[in-house]
Amino acid sequence: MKDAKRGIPMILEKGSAPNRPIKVLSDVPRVYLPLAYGEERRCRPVVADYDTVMRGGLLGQPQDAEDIALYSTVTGVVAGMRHINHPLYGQLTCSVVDRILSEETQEEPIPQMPDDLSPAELIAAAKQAGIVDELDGVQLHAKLQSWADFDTPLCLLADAIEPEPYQSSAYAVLKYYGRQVLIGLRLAAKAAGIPMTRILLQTAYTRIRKMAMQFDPNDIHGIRRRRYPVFNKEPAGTEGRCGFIGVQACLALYRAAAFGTPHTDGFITVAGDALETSHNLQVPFGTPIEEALTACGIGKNVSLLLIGDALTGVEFTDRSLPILPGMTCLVALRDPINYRVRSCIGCGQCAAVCHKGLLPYEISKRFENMQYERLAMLEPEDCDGCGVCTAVCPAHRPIAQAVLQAGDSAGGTIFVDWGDDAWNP
Amino acid sequence: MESIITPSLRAGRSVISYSFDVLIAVAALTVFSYVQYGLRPVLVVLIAIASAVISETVCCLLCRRRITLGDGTAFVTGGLIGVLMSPIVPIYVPIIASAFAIVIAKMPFGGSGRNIFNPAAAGVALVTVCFERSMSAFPNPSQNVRLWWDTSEVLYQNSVAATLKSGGTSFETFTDLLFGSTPGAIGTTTVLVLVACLLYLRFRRTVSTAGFIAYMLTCTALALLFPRAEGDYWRSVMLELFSGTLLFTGVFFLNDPTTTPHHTGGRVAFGILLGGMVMLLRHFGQYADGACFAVLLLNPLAPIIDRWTWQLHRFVEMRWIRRE
Repeated sequence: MKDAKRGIPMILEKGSAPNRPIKVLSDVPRVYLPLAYGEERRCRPVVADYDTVMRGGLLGQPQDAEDIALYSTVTGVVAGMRHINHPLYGQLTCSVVDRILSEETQEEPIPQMPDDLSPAELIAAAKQAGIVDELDGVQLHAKLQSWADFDTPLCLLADAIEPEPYQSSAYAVLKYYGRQVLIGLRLAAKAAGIPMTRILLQTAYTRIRKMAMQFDPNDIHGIRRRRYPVFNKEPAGTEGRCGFIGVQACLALYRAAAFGTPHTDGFITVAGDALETSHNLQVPFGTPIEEALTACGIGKNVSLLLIGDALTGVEFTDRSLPILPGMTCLVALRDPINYRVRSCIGCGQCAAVCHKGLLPYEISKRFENMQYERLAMLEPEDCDGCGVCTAVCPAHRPIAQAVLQAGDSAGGTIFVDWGDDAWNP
Repeated sequence: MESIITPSLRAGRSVISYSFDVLIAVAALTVFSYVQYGLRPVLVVLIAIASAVISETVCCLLCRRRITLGDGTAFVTGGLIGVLMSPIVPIYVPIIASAFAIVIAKMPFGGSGRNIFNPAAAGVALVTVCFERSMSAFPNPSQNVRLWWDTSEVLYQNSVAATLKSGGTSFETFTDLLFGSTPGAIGTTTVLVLVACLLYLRFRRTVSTAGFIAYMLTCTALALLFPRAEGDYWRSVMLELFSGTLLFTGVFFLNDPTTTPHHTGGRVAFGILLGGMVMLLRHFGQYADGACFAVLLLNPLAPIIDRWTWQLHRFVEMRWIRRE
């Protein structure tokens, strides 16, 4: 099997975070909740400034009826609006909510039997709860609806594979809320009309095998691969027709169906060698990253902060950015990374490890030399951005970035037809 | 949303480790030559390296670029030129070869990683043309050569490749070829060390052997089809494969990362073409050993071979493998 050699052997530095219980971070003083993601997903605020909102209370109504509403994730006072430039989501228009100390604890609601709900009701519940899938940042109800309407997958997989070196939030969620995730997954499958469900795990590691023993073996699809990235995730007999859903989205769907609670909290791994302890945190959405880092005891000498993991993460410096659905990992590293970038020596390592079988060195060279007409036949749009080529490059070139940009440009932004009268309007 | 991959985790090696591996192989070849001929071959190799390094530094200073000695490719070029010289070559020959390799064949194209032609092959090709007599005079094996200028009292002998070329009879046995007791250039005679170098580079994952295997198979087939030596076919194959710079070319020039195709199918195609070209030049060329010229002739084709074989591979994969 040639593919078995693709990818790189992974050094997992997950450290102590997966072994610790999930730390609940509820006493955040202020949250930033996005009413609008740039021009998309705009919400109309329904609460005036200096009004009090409860945790789970409605904060914004969507302008598009297909979108989800915005709920407050803490009990507090609305303190105005703020514009934030987010490295992942672009321009955000955020509603600022200052938390107020409330004495009363929320009573545990009585769970309804979610099995009685019809598929349409389940999708409505997902929309009502404002669930966003953390795998790809897509709204869950839209995802389920599109699966139900056309091209229904044969198998629904809750993707708990975390191949990158620090991330362990899905593992923690499965460890502590395993049954609920499983029920949520089955509800999602029911809503979309998918016959088969599996939890996808990388069982090459003892820790994960032990954790997986709480499930029935029929519920698990284990992948025994120790390399990054993990591909060919589909179980046998599904003809590659599989849908993927996040573990946190499953949990949120269960809670929405059983309790009617909106999706207000996310689970995020905060790890890295610049922290005293690494933790899996449960935080209300909109919490500033600063709070999460402080809860893990961040030191003074931090050289690199990443949203996402060490291979595919995005660098940021502004620690007041809010934690939003879709972010599952923060990495704080102590040692600066100053490799010297040299010119490509053509060792072919990037082509040897690419699991899509591309020629990353050729694509990046053509892209840098602006030979766009040669790019199309190299098929850069196949790249899924796993970042292995950058990791193995002995010349320390940012190949993955170039290939991704080339892939984007192959989609049509650079291949402009300069015919007609574009230059003389 | 455009996602940006930060270079925040590196799992691979650095460029310098690739160069260092090749230098270790060159050092092994030089040591075996030292056992046979004394200190003179070591001097030749060191002078070739020094010439290459000085040329690269001067070029970088002239172009006002950052000095790129740190990736070690200049050392590799110098070392490869050094081991392709005869042990009794005049000292100015490796100096000229290294300087030509760096100043003409490497730096004008943009330095390491951007050169089209293999610099070492280009340097050796130049001195083969210009100083033909110096390059083809090889001392009798197992005699100490004087360290300095005067090499007149050395006993000369034709190399195996030259004997094959002239149609003469050679009496070397397989053991002679294996342990290098045949006349030839510093690093090309000891077959055993060359194979050890290849295995070392392979297991360090500095080179891939796919191209090498294709190259050797092509040469074997051509030697079988068109034998030049007297005796049976296998003696012809043995003499062809283990004489001259054929094996050296397969180990070092064929696996030069910059000037050869980078992915496996391309390497195989390049190996086949190179094998054919080397044998063609041996039969019809002017010189006893045309491996350097064969490398130079095929180097410009490497990117095209690379792309075409990749597209072919992709097409086959789409058409027959993925459909299942």
